[in-house]
Amino acid sequence: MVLRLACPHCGPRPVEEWMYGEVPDPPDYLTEADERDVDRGFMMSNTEGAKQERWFHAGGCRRWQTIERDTTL
Amino acid sequence: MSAPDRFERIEATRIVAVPGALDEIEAPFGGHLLRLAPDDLLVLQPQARVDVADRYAIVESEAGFSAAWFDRSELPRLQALSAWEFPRRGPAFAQGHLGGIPVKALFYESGVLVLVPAVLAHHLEERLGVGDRPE
Amino acid sequence: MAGVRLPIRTHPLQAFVTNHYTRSFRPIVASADMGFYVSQTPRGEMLLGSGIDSQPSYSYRSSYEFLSHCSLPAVTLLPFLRNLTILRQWAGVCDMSVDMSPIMGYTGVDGFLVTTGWGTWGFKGIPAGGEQMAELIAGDRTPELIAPFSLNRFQEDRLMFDPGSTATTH
Ligand SMILES: Cc1cc2nc3c(=O)[nH]c(=O)nc-3n(C[C@H](O)[C@H](O)[C@H](O)COP(=O)(O)OP(=O)(O)OC[C@H]3O[C@@H](n4cnc5c(N)ncnc54)[C@H](O)[C@@H]3O)c2cc1C
Ligand SMILES: [Zn+2]
Repeated sequence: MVLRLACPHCGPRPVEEWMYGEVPDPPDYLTEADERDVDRGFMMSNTEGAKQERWFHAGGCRRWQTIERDTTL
Repeated sequence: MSAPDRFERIEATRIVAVPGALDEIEAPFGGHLLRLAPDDLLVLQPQARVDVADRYAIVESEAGFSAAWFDRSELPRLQALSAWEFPRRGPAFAQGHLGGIPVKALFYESGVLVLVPAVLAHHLEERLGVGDRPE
Repeated sequence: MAGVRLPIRTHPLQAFVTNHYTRSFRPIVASADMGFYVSQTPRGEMLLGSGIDSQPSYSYRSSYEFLSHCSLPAVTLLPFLRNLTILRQWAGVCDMSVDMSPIMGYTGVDGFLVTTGWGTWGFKGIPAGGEQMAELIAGDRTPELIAPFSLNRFQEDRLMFDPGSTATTH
């Protein structure tokens, strides 16, 4: 079963055409600037479930797209 | 069944501009418009003359693609090499992987014109079996 | 939840086996360039695998794309594989760390320790890692061998790319 991501410009396309881009999301409880920088640089929420992601459609329109995906499917 | 031609380098015109300006462009006589992205348009005509209502538009001649024509009878074979659905009826433009290689394709009732980045053309020929089939 | 932030993303990793290959095939063949590996199981099946799926995911789904992606280099390098049939395919999930190296030790939360980020080649390093973790827990101090792998290496800007533990080729 192939995972398809729906490109707003090109339509549903297999994940092989895309590159994933991690979006930094330091949590609010991190308040110190240094802590937030470390989090932005390295840490990831690694969400289990639905979330908004950024993907680069390398095999199509070659644009960054925002795509909602469930990481458990 | 006629065997597909080899891929050949084409000359086209690339227009990068705000989406609204690209929406208004009409195809020049004998040239086709391929909307690669909201802000990116490929006109299948060398040095196409088109008016673009965007003073910051970039209009460049584009020689980075190779193209080949495939007859309608080839469509099932090509479809089997891609994990997305070809448009049901032409004329329609689509882009995506074909045999794992990024292509742009113009679908007509009679067949499909496949464009591929020129540097990848020989890989695509190999994967599509272009050129190595009996005459 | 302990509220510990980790430099970890979870990706599926797939593998598959063919039917019985009647001759014996001794080596493990792996190509970093072509991105696949193959070996023979004790039952004579050929076992093939490749890199992680590019999407972060907790799903155990198998994909046809993986099969074709992995098979092309495999039959190119070892043409005899063409004549075998694929018996089973499966996926597991791997914890990939930012610097492709495991993370072991304290987390800053009292009584909560981690050993994670073992990636796609964790098997051989984990026994040693486990032993050292046990020593840490029982002795309350970090053994020298795993000290560099602590979570605070990211605060301290000491990324590792350690080829010994996860055989990373990056
Ligand atoms: C298809 C495939 C092929 C592989 N091939 C190789 C190979 O050839 N060589 C090699 O060295 N490595 C290989 N690996 C990698 C190796 O399997 C991993 O590196 C290793 O298993 C990681 O071990 P771990 O203990 O860190 O994590 P895991 O083995 O993932 O163990 C994590 C455990 O935590 C449990 N868990 C998760 N959440 C919770 C929770 N909330 N509460 C309680 N328990 C929880 C899980 O159920 C699981 O048992 C392969 C992996 C896969 C998927
Ligand atoms: Zn797209």
